Order: sequence, then structure tokens, then C-alpha cells
Amino acid sequence: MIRSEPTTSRSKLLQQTVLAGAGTGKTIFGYVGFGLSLLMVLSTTLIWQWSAAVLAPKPSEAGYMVISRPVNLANSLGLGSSSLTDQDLKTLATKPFAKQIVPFRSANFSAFASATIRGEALATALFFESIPDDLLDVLPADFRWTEGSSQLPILLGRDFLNLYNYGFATSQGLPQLSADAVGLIGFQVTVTGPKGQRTYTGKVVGFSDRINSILVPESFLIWANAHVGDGTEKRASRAMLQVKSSDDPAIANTITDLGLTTNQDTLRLSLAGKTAQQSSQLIGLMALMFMALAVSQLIMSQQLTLAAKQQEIRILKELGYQAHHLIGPLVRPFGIRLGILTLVLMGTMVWGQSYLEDKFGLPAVGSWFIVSLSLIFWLLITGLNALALGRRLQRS
Amino acid sequence: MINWQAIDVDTILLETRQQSDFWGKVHQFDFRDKIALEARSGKGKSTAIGILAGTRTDYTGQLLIDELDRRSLSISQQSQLLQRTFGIVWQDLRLIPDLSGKDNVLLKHLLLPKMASCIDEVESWADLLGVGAVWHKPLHQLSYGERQRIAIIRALSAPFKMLLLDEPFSHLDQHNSSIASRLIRSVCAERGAGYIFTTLDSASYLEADRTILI
Repeated sequence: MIRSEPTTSRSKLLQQTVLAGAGTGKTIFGYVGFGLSLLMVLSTTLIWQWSAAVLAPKPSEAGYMVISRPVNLANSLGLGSSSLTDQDLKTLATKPFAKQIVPFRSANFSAFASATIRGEALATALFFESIPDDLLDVLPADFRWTEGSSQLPILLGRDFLNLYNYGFATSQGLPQLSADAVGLIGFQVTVTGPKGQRTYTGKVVGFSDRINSILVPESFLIWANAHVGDGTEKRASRAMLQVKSSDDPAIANTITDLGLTTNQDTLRLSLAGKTAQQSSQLIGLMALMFMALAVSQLIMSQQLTLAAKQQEIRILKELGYQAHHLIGPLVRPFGIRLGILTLVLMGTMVWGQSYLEDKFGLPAVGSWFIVSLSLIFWLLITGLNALALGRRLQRS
Repeated sequence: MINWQAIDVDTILLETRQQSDFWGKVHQFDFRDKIALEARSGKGKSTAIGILAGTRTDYTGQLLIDELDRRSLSISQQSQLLQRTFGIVWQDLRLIPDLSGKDNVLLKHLLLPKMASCIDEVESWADLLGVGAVWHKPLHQLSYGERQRIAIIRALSAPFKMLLLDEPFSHLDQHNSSIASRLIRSVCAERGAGYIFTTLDSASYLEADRTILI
């Protein structure tokens, strides 16, 4: 007497009936193709994310850039001016990417600072610029000046402090100063112009990351230009441009077209960065097309298997089977194989990503994109195959 | 209820059809009936089974099964009919060559396992018909007679109201034919089902309420 083992399931029987002897060569080729193209798509996505993160400006600089005209030999010889023309300002102001453009106000008088640090007398010539408060990245409470005040608050570009501490102080044997310590030093500021000379107590009240200059309150500069200087306003040599989005390529193009330059590294980087991004998009697109080929190869090989099993499928239908009985058992092995492959590649990519981010100090952009993209591809392709199988079975 | 309404096929010789009690005539069968379709070769016995089973649609006239036109059934209705109403033994058997005999039976049985005979009973039929020992072997190692018995077991293993048997004992010896016919009769009696079978001559192992000469 022979008794059955109850383990034989209907799906297994259906798989044996329809998938037995399915050509493996083409299938393996399809899986390899899919794997490679998935790796390409994920890699280019990652490169795109990394470059986007590298190119994103620091929050304090986002949307702001200082525009100036590059100095050339003619300027140096006094044969031309490096100041911004009204036309430059007007052109920039009318561009769609511009929110506002405000020229720096500069002093039309000379300034001189002197202080005594640890018994050493220090003196230096100075220049002053000013800009409306709302364009400053820092606005200390005491960065204010009213007529008659003898205190002159100063906002210093952070690069000045770095130049002093790492260049000047170390080479000249002077003490290095922290940002807080600089604020404690009082020094004498003397301004001299056609209308006389005045002396103030200067004090550095803050450091700006956005503007690399020596800034005084705008109210002081307006007053001093009139009452110490000759009363005329000098043509601005720099202007602050506020833009809606700093990754608009039109910004760099316009600035170059006008023969101007900008302080912003990210903008200069952005052209190179854009090229990198665009090429990664292009490679990604090619990888997607490659993937479509590989996937159609996979689906086609299943269709061929089914075509070779027409007789068996007809018998199944004559037994009372319908397409919906068959799709599940037939798609499942495909879905599982594709899922395992996708999972392995996804894991490799996530591991590789964190390894590269650690090793090369790349920005941590997170793995959610890799994970969700992999899952989407897996579901999409499995669903597509199920659809193709369903159509095929209906027709058989 | 099956209504066979003047069905005719032009693939059979006109002369044959004109002499037939079956082609172009009207018949009515209850699912419980036991009908013999008797004819010599080439008179359209398999064609008749094919038309009832739904694999042949190239006929004139109308076949109604429970008031529904056989040809205009949806895919789902057609499947229901093959799952629950008809159990079929084809003359050319139509077994899956890559599977064992047992797996061929299971493929049918597992479509509606709860409504059919329990698998132990099905296995006892295999023993009864003398194919229990070759039950697990791949089909290509079995003789045609053994395969024919597998096909009979497959038809009996699933729910049905009526069996359609196309020369079901054509490759069986007397002994096996009588065992198989007894099994078919007893399973049909148990389920209150009938059968339509085709045969070459009147000396058949299956009894018929009615014999129609094709």
C-alpha cells in the first residue's frame, strides 16, 4: 500500500507543470543584467545626492552673494574703474532670480585705528563699508550708532580674525585672540576728511560669515560721509545680491556675462557641480534603459517558457484552472529570486555608502532613497511580470 | 440538465450525420442519466464529448447546460463547469507527461480539495485499479493502460455531477475494465451522478439507461 505525503501543494504541482525545464541561460542573463543596472541606478542616485549635499550652501550664505568687478591691470594703473555701474545693478535687479541687490556704501574719508595690547602699540589704516541691517547675517544688539555717540561698533569679516590669529599674530609674536576676546579690546578710531577729523572708541561687536569687510552701522557712514568726508557718495565697488534660489544656473551665467565676480564658492562650484549632477542623471537614465532591457529579457524568458508549455496550460484549463490560479505560483519564484537579488544589492549599496561616507568624509545623505528605490523596482517589475503572465495565460 | 438542440458539425461526413440518431437531432439529458453514445470510429464520438466539455465550438445548433448557452459562457462559468459539473476522461487522456500519476491526480483533486473525495479514498482506488505500485513513477514509465486508469482516477477524484467518458476502457483488459466500470458506477451512485460514455460496440462494461447510435 502506498500512502501520500500530504506535503505536495498545488502551487508546487503547478510550478512543476508549467515551469519545469524552463531555460535558465537567458534567465540568468536577465537577472545579471537587472542586478548591474540596479547597481548603476542606485550609484548614480547616490552620487547625485552627495553632490547636491556638497553643493548646498551653508545656511548663513544661502541666497546671499557679494558681487564685485574683478580687478585688472588697467584698474591698477588707474586707467579704469572696478566699481559697479548703474547698468550692472539694474541688469541684476531685473533678473527673475534676484530678490534684491543693494550696493555697499563705502567711506569717502580715511580712517586709522590704534590700540595698545600688552604694552605693544599697534596702529593700522582702516576702511569702512556699510550695508542695511536686514542683509547682515548677524546683528548684535550694540551694532548701532546715533549722532553724537563716541562709541563706534564694528562688524568684522571672520576672515580678518583668522588672518590675524593664524598669520599675523604667530609671525609677529603677538597674542592670538578669540572672538570673545576681540570684543573686549577697545581701540581708538580716527577718521580724517576734508571737513575735519574726529576720534571714536572702536569696538568689534561681532563677526560676519557672509560679508568679508569692515562694517560700521549705516547711520554712521551716512553721517560721516557728509560731515567728515566731502559730502559725495563714492560709486560702490561691491554689492550684496539676494537671490531666490542659489542653485539657479542663470545666476552664474549673468554674473559672468556682466564681467563680474562673486565671493561665493558654492556658486563657482555649482557649474562643476551641475555638470557632475547632469552627467549622473544621464548615466542614471542610461542605467534605467539598460534595466528596461534586462527586465524585458526576464519577462520574455518567462513568456517563452509559457509558450513552450501551451499543451500543459490547455490541460490545466480543461481541468478547470483559471489564469488567477496560475499567476501566484508562477510569479512567486520570480518575485522571490528578484527580491533576494534586490535585497543583497541594496544591502551592499547601503554598506558601501556608509563606508565611503566615513572614509572620504562625504555628507551623510541617508539610505532611505536606496532602500525605497530598490523596493519600488522590485514591486514594479514583479507586478509587471504578473501582468504579462496573466495576459499570456488568458490568451493560451 | 443538458439540452442538445439539433447540433451538427460539418467535419463529419454528411451521409453519416443523416443516418445518425444524434447529429442534428434534439436530445435532453439529466445529469443523473446514464447515456451510451455508440458508433464505429469516425462518426464523431470524441467530437460530441468535446462539444459537451466546451473544447469544440465549431457546431451549428445550440447546446444548453442548465439553461445557459455552452458557447457563450464566461471564462469563469466555463471553469466552474469543468470544476464542479463534469468529470472528463478524454480518449487521448490529456495527462501532464512530466508529472507522476499521483501528481496528475492531485493536480485535479487539489483544485477543490474540500468538496472532493478524501485523498486516502482516492489512493485506495489506485490500489483497486492496480496502479498503486506505479502511482509515484513518472508518467512516461507507465503503460497506456496504466495511464488510462490514472485518467479515470483523476476524473473521479474531483467533484462532478456527470462524467464524460470517451472510450474509457479502450486500453484495458476485461478484468481491469470490469473493475474500473464497477468503481465508476459505485462512485456515481454515491454522488447521485450520471455519465455519458462513448463506446464502439453495444457490449460495454458500463450499463446505460439509454443508448444513442451516432
